[in-house]
Amino acid sequence: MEWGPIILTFRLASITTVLLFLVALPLSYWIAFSRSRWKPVLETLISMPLVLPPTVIGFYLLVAFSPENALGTFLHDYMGLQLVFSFEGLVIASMIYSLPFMVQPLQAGLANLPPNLKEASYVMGKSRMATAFYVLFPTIKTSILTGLVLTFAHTIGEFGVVLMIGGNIPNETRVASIAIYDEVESLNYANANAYSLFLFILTFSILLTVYVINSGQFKRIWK
Amino acid sequence: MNQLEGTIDRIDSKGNLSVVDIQVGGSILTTIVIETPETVSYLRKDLSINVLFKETEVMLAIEKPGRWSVTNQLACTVEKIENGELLSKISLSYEGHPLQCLLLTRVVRDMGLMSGQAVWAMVETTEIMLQA
Amino acid sequence: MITFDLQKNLGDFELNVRFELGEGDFLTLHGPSGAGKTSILRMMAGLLKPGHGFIEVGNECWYDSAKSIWKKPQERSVGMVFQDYALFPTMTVRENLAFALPKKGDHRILDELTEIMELGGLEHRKPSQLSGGQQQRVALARALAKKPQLLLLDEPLAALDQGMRLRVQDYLLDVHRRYGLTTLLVSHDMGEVFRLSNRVLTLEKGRILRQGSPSEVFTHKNLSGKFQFTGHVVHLKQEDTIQIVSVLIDNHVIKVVATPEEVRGFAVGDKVIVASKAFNPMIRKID
Repeated sequence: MEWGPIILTFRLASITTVLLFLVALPLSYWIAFSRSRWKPVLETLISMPLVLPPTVIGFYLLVAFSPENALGTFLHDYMGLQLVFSFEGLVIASMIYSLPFMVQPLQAGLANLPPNLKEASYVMGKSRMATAFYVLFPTIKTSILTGLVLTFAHTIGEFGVVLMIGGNIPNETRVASIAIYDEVESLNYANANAYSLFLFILTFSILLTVYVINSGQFKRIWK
Repeated sequence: MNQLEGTIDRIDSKGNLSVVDIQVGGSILTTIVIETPETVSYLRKDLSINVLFKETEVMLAIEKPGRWSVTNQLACTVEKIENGELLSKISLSYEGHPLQCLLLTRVVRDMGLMSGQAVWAMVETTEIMLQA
Repeated sequence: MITFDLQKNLGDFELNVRFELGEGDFLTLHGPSGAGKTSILRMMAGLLKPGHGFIEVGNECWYDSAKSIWKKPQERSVGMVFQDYALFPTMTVRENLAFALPKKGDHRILDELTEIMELGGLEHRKPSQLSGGQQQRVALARALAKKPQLLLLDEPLAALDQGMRLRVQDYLLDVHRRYGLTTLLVSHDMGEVFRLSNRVLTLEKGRILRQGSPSEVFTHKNLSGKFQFTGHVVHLKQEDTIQIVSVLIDNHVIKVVATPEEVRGFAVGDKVIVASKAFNPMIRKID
């Protein structure tokens, strides 16, 4: 077993989680409190990765980012971004693919807050921004943790999207899940098992942590 | 609750208190209230007003009382007596208006009250309420 | 002087209320639930926009539909206590109070409020570690931290037991006087109305039914008897030639002797007024 794919997997998961969190926070806020008629459309779009085969998303991203297309050309010529078969492309694809796993806990957390909290803060003269950062976000910290961990774990488990848009370039796009597939194809079952066991134990630990924290066990253990 | 209609005849006020004389038929009834013409609109001379008092607060006398502290005295006729075991209800008529009075059955018997009899009904000034 | 004229379609009915409040007034909004009381508070706070009308506070205009003026809650000098207190669960008592302080606010008011509301020793607790009455006091202190002109209270004492309710009422009266507030309270509790407010608005389906001082609104003015209560008939019994009527007034059942004719047609549950002259009742001090 090589460490390269494992390290790459973690790099991808960490960067995806951080970037997605920054994108999802305002997005979730808007969905939770907006009364726009476009809200259901956006909610549906965000949920699509839950039902679509990852290959569908991977395929469309591949087409969109391809240098033969307008978007791909634009990104390449004006921003110097090569998104097909590159790490950057994987990050963007992972963010889209994990969107519901980050947005849904945040949105649910915000929507379930008593509306009076926000209003009380406004009456105290606090802006929307101050209210969000000092009152609302701290109050939904377990939802935030859930979103972060789920996104991280889900990105580790990605396969279809990566295969479509990233391919299998060592130290660039060859993440653990791809490496496992590769080892199996080459009949190196021992290596495949090493990667698999490592991922299994790791994702199990991460999810267990979330459930323990959310069930309040965490507090009981530490207090 | 006994109720008679009358007309305000005179008001003497001091501080928050007023003594009010009300002409009810041929008699004057007097009451004292914690109101003045400034605090309520119904305290005006010549205004018509209802006089209320409770059946349990009516006293009866067979002869016209002489120098009594109770100045509210109405000449009535006994219409009907309903004897209960302890309490009796006496229906009276004052110039055609019905009044009622509750007395101990024992007292009714001792006084020898009978229907058709002429009596004086009396009420304390502090027991009369006014209703506009 | 605070003047408001608020109109809005609230679904079931049209809210239409116009009222004038003097500085230092303590006004109670009273009426059945769903009469529009909370909506009025929310409009005064800037949390709900009326359809038409205006709100004037002193020389400031907070709302004027004709001039398209609508001040946000952040721009109004109001403090509000919500029915569920709305304390921030992640902050300690002290942090809750400090959060309400304006940027250039004086921290000394926090100490003062902590003292008035007797919150000393609780400052480092989270709201979840406080009793209902303590939470209520924190919410009240927090609403006052920015020294608002107008204090809005949405049934703040509804969840408290009788003893605690009386104590919080004392705190309320104290701060109302001390800070020269104009206060708007939503309440169902008659005792509270009489104890706290000098003016009352009775609302029904978005309209003002009665207004005036509590005694003007809640006592029957055309009857001279000063010993008056309203209550509900709980029991009727014929005894000998009389009827004994039991009436529930607040938490007390009292008995009234009446003639059968007087109470003909009375039924258990009927709302009645019990009146007597102020000259009759005995009064005596109890320990």
